[in-house]
Parts: sequence; C-alpha cells; structure tokens
Amino acid sequence: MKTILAVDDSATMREMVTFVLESAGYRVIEAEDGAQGLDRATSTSVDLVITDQNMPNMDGLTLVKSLREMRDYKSVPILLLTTESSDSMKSQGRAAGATGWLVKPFDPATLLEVVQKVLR
Amino acid sequence: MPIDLNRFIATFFDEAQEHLESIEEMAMALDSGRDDPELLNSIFRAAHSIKGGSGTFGFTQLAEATHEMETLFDGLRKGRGRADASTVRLLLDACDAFKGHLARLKAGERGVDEAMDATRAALAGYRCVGMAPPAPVAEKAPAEESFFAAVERPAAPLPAAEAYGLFEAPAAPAAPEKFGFFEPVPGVAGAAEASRARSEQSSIRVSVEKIDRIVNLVGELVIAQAMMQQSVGTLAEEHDENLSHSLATLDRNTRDLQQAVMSIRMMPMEFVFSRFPRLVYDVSTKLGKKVQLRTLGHETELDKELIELLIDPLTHVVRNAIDHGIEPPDERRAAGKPEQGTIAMRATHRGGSVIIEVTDDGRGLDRERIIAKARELGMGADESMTDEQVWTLIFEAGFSTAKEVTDVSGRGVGMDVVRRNITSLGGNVFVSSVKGEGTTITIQLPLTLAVLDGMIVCVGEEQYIVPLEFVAEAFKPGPGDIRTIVNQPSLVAVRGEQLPIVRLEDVVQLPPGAPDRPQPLCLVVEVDNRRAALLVDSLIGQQQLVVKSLDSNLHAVPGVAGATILGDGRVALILDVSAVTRTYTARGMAKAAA
Repeated sequence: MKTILAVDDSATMREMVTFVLESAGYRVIEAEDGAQGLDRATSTSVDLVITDQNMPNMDGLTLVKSLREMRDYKSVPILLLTTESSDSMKSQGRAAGATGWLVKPFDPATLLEVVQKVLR
Repeated sequence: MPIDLNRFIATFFDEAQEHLESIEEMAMALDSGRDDPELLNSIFRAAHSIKGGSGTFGFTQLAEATHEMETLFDGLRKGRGRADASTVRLLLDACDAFKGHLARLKAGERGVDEAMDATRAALAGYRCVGMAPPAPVAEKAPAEESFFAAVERPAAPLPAAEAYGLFEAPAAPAAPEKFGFFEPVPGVAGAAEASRARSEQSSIRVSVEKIDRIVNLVGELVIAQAMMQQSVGTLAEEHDENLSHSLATLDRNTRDLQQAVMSIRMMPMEFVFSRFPRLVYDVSTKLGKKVQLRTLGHETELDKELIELLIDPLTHVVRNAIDHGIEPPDERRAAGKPEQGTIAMRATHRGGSVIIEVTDDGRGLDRERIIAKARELGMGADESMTDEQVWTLIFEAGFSTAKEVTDVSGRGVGMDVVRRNITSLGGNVFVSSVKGEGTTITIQLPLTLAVLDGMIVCVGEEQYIVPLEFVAEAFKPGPGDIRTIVNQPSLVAVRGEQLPIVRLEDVVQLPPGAPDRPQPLCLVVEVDNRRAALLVDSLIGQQQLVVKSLDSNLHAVPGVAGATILGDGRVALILDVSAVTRTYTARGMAKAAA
C-alpha cells in the first residue's frame, strides 16, 4: 500500500485529501505544517508528498527544498497545493524541486488523477 | 466519486471559527502598538485559510471577503501602509460579519448576505495610514469553481489542464528520477507500515452525543457494580476469596473507566478565556478606559457542560470589573496608578473543584456606600459588619451602587444572577476587595455535573443525598440546644453560633404523625455564605454518585437538584441545598409568624 503524506495547516483540507485518498486505497499520514511534515517524512517512509504552500512554521516551498536535500527524498514525487497557478509560482515550485502543482479548490477526481499519474 | 460534503463542512465551520477568533485576538494585539511582522503574516494566513475552505465549499461571499482581507494584509506585511486603531475596528467588524455569515451557512441558508457585501466593500475600500491611495488592483478571488459545482456537475469540472500540472523540464535535484518510477523498494514499504503506529494522528473528532451515551452507560455500569458489591460483597468476603478478589478488581476497573470517560468530556478553560479579549476590548473602548487582560491557566480542564454555563456569569463579572472596578485613565493617574488597568482571569484546580478568579486593579469596593445602599434597600446592614459580610451584600437582588446606570453593566441585576447561576451548578462565589487596590471575585465550581460526592441521609423510610461540598459538619444536638423563638425559625446553637433549622421532613413533606423516629441529627450545611442546620433522622454514609437529571422527565422540582440510583437499586433524590435553605428558613419564619 502506498503511503502519502498530506501537509496542510487547514484541518478541512487535510480531512478532504485524506478521505479521498484513503477511499482510493492509499494510506495517508497528515502533518499540520512544513516543520511537522519534515518530521513525519523523516520518521516514516513516504511514497508521495502533497503539501500546501502557505503554512505557519515552514511553508510548502521550504518543505520541498528541505525534502530534496534528504537522501530518501531525492526522487519521491512532491505535489504543491496552491490557490494560484501563476507563472512565478510555477517557476518557484520547479526551482524548489516539486514534481507538480495542483490548484485549490480541486475536485476529488482531479486529485486522484494527478496522484495516480505521479505514483504510476 | 460520490462524496458527502457534510463530512467536511463541520470541520470547515469549526476551523473557520477558530481562525476568526485568532484574527480577533491578533487584531487587538495590533492596536497595542506592537509592530510585529509575524502578526501581519499570521492574520494573512488565517484569512487565506478561510478563503481556501470557503472556495472549496462554494461559499463565494466568504471567499471574496476574506480575499480582500488577505489582500489588505498582504500589503501590510510587505510594508505598504501601517495598521492603526481603525484597522483593528475594521477587522473586528469584519470578523463579526463573518461569524454571522458562518452561522447562516451552518443553518443552511445559502442566500445573499448583505452584511457580507458591505464587509467586502469596506475591506476592499480601506486604506491604511501610509497606503498608496490608488487601490492595489484586487485580484479576483480564485474561488469561482467550487467543490460543490464539481460534484454536482461531474461532466464539467475544472479543465484538467489548468487544475494541476507536472513540471516537464526536470528540476535540478530531482532530475534523473523525475519521471515517476516509484516501485516501492522491498522493505521500504514494510518500514512505512511498521512506523504507522508512531505517526498516527494524535486526535479524532467525536460527536458529543456519542460521548454522552458512553458517559450514561458507564453511569449504569457503576450503579450495577455498586448493586453487585452490595448484594454479594459481604458474602464473598466471608466465603469466597476468588469472588471477593474479582469484585475488588471490577470495582477498581469500573472506577478507572468512569474517570477515563469523564475526562473525555473535559475541555480546557481556553474555550472560555478566548472569548474575553474581545469583550474587554469592546467594553473598555466604549467606556474610554484602558484595560489589559491577562489570562492564566488555559489548560485547566472543566466539564464541557460547565464550560458552557460558565460563560454568562463570567461575562457579567468581567463587564462589572471594567465598568465599576477600573477607573478612567485620569483618575488612575491621579491615584498614582498606571493609566492602563489590568484584569486577570485565572483558573486552577483545587481538590475536586475548579477555582476561577477575576481580579481587577481598580478602585475596590466602597464599604460605606454598600452599607448605605443596603440600608436604603432595607437589608439591615451596619458598621459592625465585617468586610466579608459587607461584600456579600453585592450579591443581593436589586443591589447596585453605581451612581448612574450604564448600558454596559446594566441595572444591578448582575451579581445576584451570577451567584444564582453559580450555585445552581453546585458552586460558590466569593468576593474580596481592598479599597483603592482592586477586587477579586472567586468562583468555585465542581469539576463535573455528572458525578457527585454525596452524603446519604435518612428521613422516615426514604434516603436523600446532600452534596458533600455543602456539608460542614454533623452532630447530635442535646436536649437544650434547640430553641424556638416567636416569629423566627427554630435555632440550634453550634459552638456559640445560632443556626436556623431546616427540617428535612418539612422539605420532603413527610406525612405528619410519622411513626416514632430516632432522635434527629443536625447536618450543618453552608451555601451562598449562609449556614443552616438540616435536621435528619440518620446518616448512612458518603458515596460517589452518578447524577441523573429529572428535568427531561419531570418539571423542575423545587428543592431537588436531581436523582441517583443507590447501590441497593433504590432511587434517591439529590437535594438542592441552596434552594432548600433559602425556602425553608424563610418558611420557618412565615410559619412561626402565622
């Protein structure tokens, strides 16, 4: 079973992402901000990270950069959840090492589609 | 994929409410002159979070208004302009509108909320000190396509190409492995599985109804256990060591289980305290006073039910402290005090009680004025009374020494209601005060309303429960101790003090001429700073009891606070000591007068 780490400071978003992914048969672990996400990713092996951008303690881009510096996370896909899909966001995400981005709000089908695509 | 949105909406409402509360709190900190970039960031983030959730659920008005708030604070955190008192007002008013709107949404109203339009316009049109006059072009809230819409019209969700994207050109560090070959390495998945326990979520949400059902069931279990103990306990002790041992284990486990279940209902005082910064801000601004609020003991836990019932009385006490306690700035300066007054709220556990103190550093209670006022009201007060006795007068109905009635503290209906509310919860209120230095109101409450330590007493054939916290002592009066005076309730002398007697048989209306009964016992009870002697036939003992409410089945019965089931399966009524002493000492007087 693939394990997905969902990082978001919003409990609503975490709950939704978790529900959608668990319903599709994934195992989901949650973190409330970047720092906790890094912590979880360190203590657990994760197959995919989905992270919000705007969070207290550590934002999504910093989390992506920090994960990419870890040996175990060089190649693990990381999706950035964002409310905007501007070019500057994209170039920042790419530079940080994210695998892709997903615009909020999203519908469950889109989330599953992108997750399946990167986990294939 | 069919998804029931209600599953997440409740979480969103809770979360939005929490964010609004934290925005309020941070807004008030803005006004304290602290120039803290993290504060601006946090407000930005909170607005952003609400916006995100609102968009998801299709709450467009909320998404748009919070978008304006986000834009404003994005400007502020980037140094475009400076927040001042008007910004605080704007934010607080906006939070009020958002809360009202959330309440409508919760109630299922999806129509246009005009208050929200006004709030959005106010936020969009607001210019801070130092902010460039031309409005920074507000971006359109990106929350047009809602989750609702996506679910309802599965054929036309967001165009997939725009909803997400994968970076085609590999980013540097992820370069070689970028294309998604993620066959789980054997062992890695195992490791992930193994560490599952460690990384489980630390909390879950459970409905209050479910918890209350468990509390009730455990209550029944406790009763069943007590009944079993009573029926076979002695037998087992004498004849069957194994059974006796099992009974003891069952007893211990039942008790532990009960405690564990009760702890689920406990909530931190944080839930109460978090309401007060806003109240203090609003009331003090209105009265032109400067007041800072300090709260201590946020983690102190209290039964959820009590938490809810505590808010009203505490609100009264705090309003009063600002209105009557804290002096206006010039008066404080003249008295050599800092212009800004302080109100401290503090919650601690002491034994089986929670103590909540509200202390102000204001002018203190005015002994002379209280005595004069009490006389005016015909309450019988004189100079020989101790301070403590004088302070107690402020809890009497109709008492208010404020020179003029303000719309903040009202007409002196406050403190008597506070005391009545608190005693009806099985608690007590005390006041201490030093002129010129301030006043402390202390509220003492039981930890929970669901279990109670009670003294089982007997009158005639029946057993009744007196909550142990009200019992001061018990003794057998001698023949000469009880005195009957014309036009007064009977009195009994307890170490020189004359206490009014309340006959429990009158309270429970035992038929006259009941069979010969043992010489009565006196139970000295103390409630609302009033002592009385409750006359009963005998004491059975102390026991922890599970409280059953009568209200759901019967009307409120005067003098009865609830019922419980005793170890032998009999139902016993729990006395409302406050009401009993109030009613029957007065009735004693009326009876004697008749």
